[in-house]
Amino acid sequence: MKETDAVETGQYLTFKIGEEIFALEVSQVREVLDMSRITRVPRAPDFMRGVINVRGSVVPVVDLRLKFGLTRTESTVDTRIVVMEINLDGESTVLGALADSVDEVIELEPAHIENPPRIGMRWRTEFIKGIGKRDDKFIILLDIDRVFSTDELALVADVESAGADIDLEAPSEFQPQPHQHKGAAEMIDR
Amino acid sequence: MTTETDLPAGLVKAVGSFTIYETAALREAMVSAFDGPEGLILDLGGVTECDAAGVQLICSARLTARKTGKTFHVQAVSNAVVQAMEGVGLDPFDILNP
Amino acid sequence: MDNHKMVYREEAFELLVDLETALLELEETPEDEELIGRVFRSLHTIKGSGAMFGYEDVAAFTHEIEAVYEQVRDGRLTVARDLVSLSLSACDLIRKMVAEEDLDTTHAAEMMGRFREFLPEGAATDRPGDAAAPFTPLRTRTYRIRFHPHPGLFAAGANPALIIDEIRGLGDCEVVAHFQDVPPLDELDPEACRLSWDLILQTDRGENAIRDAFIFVADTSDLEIQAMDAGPNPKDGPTDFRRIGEILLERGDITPEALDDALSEQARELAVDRRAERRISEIGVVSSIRVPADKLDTLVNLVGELVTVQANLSRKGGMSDDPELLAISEEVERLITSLRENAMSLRMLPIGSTFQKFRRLVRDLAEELGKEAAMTTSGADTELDKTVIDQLNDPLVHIIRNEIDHGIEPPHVREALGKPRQGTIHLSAAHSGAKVLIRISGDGAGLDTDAIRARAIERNLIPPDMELEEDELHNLIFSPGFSTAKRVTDVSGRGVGMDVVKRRIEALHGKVEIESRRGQGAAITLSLPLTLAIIDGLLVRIGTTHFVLPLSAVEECLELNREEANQSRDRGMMRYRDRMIIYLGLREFFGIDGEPPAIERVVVSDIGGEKIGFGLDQVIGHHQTVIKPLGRIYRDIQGVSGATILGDGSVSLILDVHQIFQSMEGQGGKEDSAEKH
Repeated sequence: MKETDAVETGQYLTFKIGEEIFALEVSQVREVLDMSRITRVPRAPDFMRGVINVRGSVVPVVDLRLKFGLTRTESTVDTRIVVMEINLDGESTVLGALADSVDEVIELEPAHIENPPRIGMRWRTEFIKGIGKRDDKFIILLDIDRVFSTDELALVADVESAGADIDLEAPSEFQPQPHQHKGAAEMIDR
Repeated sequence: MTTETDLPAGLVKAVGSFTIYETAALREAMVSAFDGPEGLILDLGGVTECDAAGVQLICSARLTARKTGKTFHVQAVSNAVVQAMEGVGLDPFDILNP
Repeated sequence: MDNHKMVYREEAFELLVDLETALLELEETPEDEELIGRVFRSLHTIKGSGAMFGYEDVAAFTHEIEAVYEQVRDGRLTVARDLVSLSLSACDLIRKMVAEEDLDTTHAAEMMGRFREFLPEGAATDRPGDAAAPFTPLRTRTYRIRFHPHPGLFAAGANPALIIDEIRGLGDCEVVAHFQDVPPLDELDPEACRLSWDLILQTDRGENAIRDAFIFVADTSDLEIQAMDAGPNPKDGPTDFRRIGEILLERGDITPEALDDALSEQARELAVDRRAERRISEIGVVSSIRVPADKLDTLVNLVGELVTVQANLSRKGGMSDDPELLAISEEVERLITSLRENAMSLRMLPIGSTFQKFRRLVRDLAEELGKEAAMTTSGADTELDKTVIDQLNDPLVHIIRNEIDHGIEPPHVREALGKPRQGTIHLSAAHSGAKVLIRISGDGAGLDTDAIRARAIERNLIPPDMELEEDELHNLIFSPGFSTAKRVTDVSGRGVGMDVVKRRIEALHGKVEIESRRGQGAAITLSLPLTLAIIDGLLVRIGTTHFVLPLSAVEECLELNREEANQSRDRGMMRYRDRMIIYLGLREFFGIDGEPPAIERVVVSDIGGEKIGFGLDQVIGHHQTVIKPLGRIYRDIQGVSGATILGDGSVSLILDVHQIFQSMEGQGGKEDSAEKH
């Protein structure tokens, strides 16, 4: 798995969460599925929506909207499950992510990709490999491995169980500075 | 010594001492077991002490069975009983088995 | 040459090397009894197995040497240089015989003659025994003692066993008890002594010493002491045997023919034992390569990754218009499929490798406990997933330990019961459907249900007046905190009870069953899934969610009406048969929305002896469950061990009842059960 921020020319799958366009390297994407019945796993954080059957394999499905502090993904005709292969602490694992819609596969040259701005971002910068630009639209290239790193999962689990009444519309855990500190402090406590 | 009540028909179970002091009571129990259709089943697994009188009683039970043709089966035996038999020069196998 | 001969040959060569070493040492220290014993045993084994494997010449030749060393062992002959030299050249000759080389038969005959010269008949003057013997005041004589107690012997407080013991202390003694005068029970005065004894004693202590032993019973018994011939060979076995034989014949107990039969029977049994041992050692030689387990796991993981890559390739191949690529992709897919099957089968191991380890355990434990036990096995080639086998080790050790410690009787007790001296622990494995049955049986004493019952009452496991069936009593040994060990031995007093065994097996989705027959032995059967990848499950429903409960954890399914269910929920307890058990509503545990139905179902589980009722909406039925991992991100979720795919393609979760139970205990949900851990 590539860990460098220097992005080579490559193909990206773009998908929408709300109005924002995200992109994943095609090499990480295994397939895109229509929405299907998700079996909830009790006592798990809400953003972990459950598990689905992908041709005989049981694959966990996460709700990126909830993960990013938005409202729960509602199932529409456009909703898709992006099945991807991520690297969790050095182990490869398969995961499905809900997207409001999946758009297309695009090619982006490194020249068209910028480093994420350090401030003024709505999203936590460590989840972002870079910002691509295409047809005047910004495309956020996700570092999906980081989104699901063990630390993140544990932190989210804490937030989910502790803060039951947070306003889900507010990008709670994505306000960069305060939360990062909180997260770090909690991790030290552990 | 204790003998158990409510045991299956024919079963006499001796626990603790099996000596001249207990032989009278045990003889009663064994005689009535032989009166039943099952014959006598003896459980000596819990015997902790046994003397020559005890051994003699077991011999008598064996001889009774030989004479009457009724069943006599020893389902368990403790070290104490075996040692008592060997101590008086009897082969426990001869006595305990038909 | 057949395998048996080969084994004998190798063994004989080893024995000969050992024999030579011992002979050389014996030359230095001719009085060393241990060395003499070693020489004698080696010769005896060479002779015995030689005869068995068709080396009659070896057997006959070694017999002569053995006879000489018998004299040495009995102290009638001292080893000198000439005997050692002769013995060493005899070793060379035996080696040639075993190697089946051509030999000079006259040389062998001549050597046999030279050995015979060491024997008393041929060379009586050669016996230094008499001269070397220390001064003894009385000659060793043989006495026949007739001891006929009066009926009042017992009442006088005399203990014949003590007297006999004293006589035994005077010398070599054979005791023949006469019990033919004991009347049947209905005529017996149990306090009157009707036993009598004949004792044959060889002693150098004189008649007075014998009389002294009987001094306290002089008034209550008739005693007759008769000195028999004082033959030149007081230790001559056969003469001895004739004397005892006479008495036995007199008593009408035995015929010499019967005795001969018994002796040859014994010899046959010995031969069978040896043959069995050999077979076992052959089984022990398995052609295999040892691979570290983690390498195997890495391989399986790599294959897993390869499967993923291949899926990608197939997709690409399917999308492209290149028929050649498609063909290659299909070929790769086919290969990877068989590679995966192969890799998985590598983790299937014959359970025999585990069985072998226990042979030593059985031997060592038996020795430690002064018992004799052998292990036999069957179905050693039954295959099981390595992960299952690995986790079986500890429970099996414990069960075997328990059987040797509490099941197998001491050798003389066994003999007395007409069982072979040596107890047998039989380990067997067999496939039964999708299960593997592993059975550990022993021909020991079986479970003493009365002792179990008493123990269970003492431990407050059951109320004193509780009626229990035999098998329910047997199963009490699996209750937490139960142990029938009367004394703490090194072996089983380690604080681990059979309850731990049960829990371990259940954690593997297995079941433990016990059968026992008093006096005949006990057997514990473990039934385990073939692999941890497939289990028998019970499909249940709560709201719209389906779950699978491992069938191994299901004891019974019950119904509760609304009122009973609400009560159970409030108390955390429910009524089951005649007692209260823990109740856990799975709807609440898993936070599933919705109202429970009017009639609620309860699945009763037995978790390490603790009964627990799981409340749910509906029991759908049996489901052959292929366990799929839930994915790494769910690894910390409590109470779910995996997932499975149902017939309609939806995913259902497999409940881990042990974990649910543990998490309840962790929360202090039930105080008294928490206390036990």
